[in-house]
Amino acid sequence: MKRYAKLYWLYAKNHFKVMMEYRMDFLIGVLSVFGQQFAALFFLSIVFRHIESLNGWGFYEILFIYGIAFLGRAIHHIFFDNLWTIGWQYIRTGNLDRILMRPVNPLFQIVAERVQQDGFGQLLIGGSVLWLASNELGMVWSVMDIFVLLVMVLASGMIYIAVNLFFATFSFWMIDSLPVVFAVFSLSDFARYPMTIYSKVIMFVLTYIIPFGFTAFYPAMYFFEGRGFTLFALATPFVAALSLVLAYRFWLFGLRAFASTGS
Amino acid sequence: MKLRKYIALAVSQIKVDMAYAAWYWASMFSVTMRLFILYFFWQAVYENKTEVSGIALSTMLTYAVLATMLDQFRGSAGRELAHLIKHGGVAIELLRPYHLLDKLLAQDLGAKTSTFFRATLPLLVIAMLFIGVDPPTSIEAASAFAVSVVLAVLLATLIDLLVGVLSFYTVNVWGLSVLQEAVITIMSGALVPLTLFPDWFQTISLYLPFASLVYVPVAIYTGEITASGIWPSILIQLGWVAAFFIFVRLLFAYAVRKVTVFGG
Repeated sequence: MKRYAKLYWLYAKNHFKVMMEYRMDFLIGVLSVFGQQFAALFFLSIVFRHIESLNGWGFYEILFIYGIAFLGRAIHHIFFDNLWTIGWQYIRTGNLDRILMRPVNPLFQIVAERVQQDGFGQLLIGGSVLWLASNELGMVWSVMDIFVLLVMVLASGMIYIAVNLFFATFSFWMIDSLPVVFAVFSLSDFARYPMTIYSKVIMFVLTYIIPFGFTAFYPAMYFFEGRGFTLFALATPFVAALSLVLAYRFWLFGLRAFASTGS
Repeated sequence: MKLRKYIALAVSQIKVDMAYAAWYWASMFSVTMRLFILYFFWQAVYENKTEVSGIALSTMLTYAVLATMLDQFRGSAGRELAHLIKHGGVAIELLRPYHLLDKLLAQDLGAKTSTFFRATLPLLVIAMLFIGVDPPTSIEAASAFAVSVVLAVLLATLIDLLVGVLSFYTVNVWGLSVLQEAVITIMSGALVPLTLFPDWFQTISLYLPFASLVYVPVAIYTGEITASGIWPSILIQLGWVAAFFIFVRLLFAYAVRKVTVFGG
């Protein structure tokens, strides 16, 4: 464990050196993520100029849900962005063989080889949105609440990571499963709005099959009073842990299949 | 034993073909999902209303569907150019007997034509079946829409090329193109009709090229831009296309000179 922490630190230090070389690019990257998120918020605020509530949800309640999604996504984006590239940067190029030679967990190496600085923009905007929304909603934060929030955000990030890892693993059989990952991730956009606006089928899929509902909507329900879904909110960390375990098992299975063909 | 390597080659070709097919289905899936989100979102917005800012639900859904479709036509020419620049291929391209920008433009239009038949039409059918798309308000609106779409697509490619040319100056093309995407997403009316925006914003967008990308053609179709407004709008589009065409060329020529100075 200590060895891995030290290794990660070395990787990260290396990465930050590169980053400081291209400071302008860092700025552009953060700005671009900013812009992306801003577009979504802008859309919402424009629509709310013309309506009071969306299916009973107020503007700031939806912002709060957004905020949690942004923060969870930021964790995934900053530290686990390399999961996206497993197919075309590791398997297709044969880079994976280099990694398998080393006496360190291969997944750890892949993840550590990249810190996506652009994600810090997301972290910033997610934090501000959450802060703004909770202020406007008049939320009172106890120490316990803040602790729960941290757990929820972490859980949200873990679900993004688990889904990404699970579908990236298909690369072992199809060389690059990026299209699949991309398609599945387009479902995560559903999670930005209160799930009550969707049909039962969609809610079912986002709860039990691809658990994106737990990246934003359900955890947010812990902080809203009298909205229901409390059980789902409390289940969030467990769903996250379960997803991650499943995804990692699948990854190990794929890795074994890959190594045994000797390709 | 000898056969094994050839079988392996055959399998690998299948995988390559599958990769292309996979991207096609992935993007179809992703756009379909986006359409569904929009559908449920607007349904919820109109829960207790018959109109928002004078727009009825069916018109809004028509707008959302067409805007989403048109939004798919943002170019990839800029990325191609950026790639050429980053990896040095631009040097060889410059030696060839055509103007690189024109070549990219032509390729891009070809790709978009193919996208139209392969992706847009099937998606439109899906949208008509599950979401509902109003017919155009008049024959004049329909034909003006067709013209306006072509201009919008051209303009999108030119703006994209402009960003591509900028990669002579920065390494993080990805960041730049995402930034460009965000600006266009907000300002073009790809998300909501610009008439829903605050007045000051509408005034600004009058002087910017982005409304010509999505809002103008779609609003012509849905009748938000009425008969008298159609031709001025198309003229403005035409003006932007001409302006960007010239500007990109000048910037490209300037940047190329700079590259040559560096001994590239």
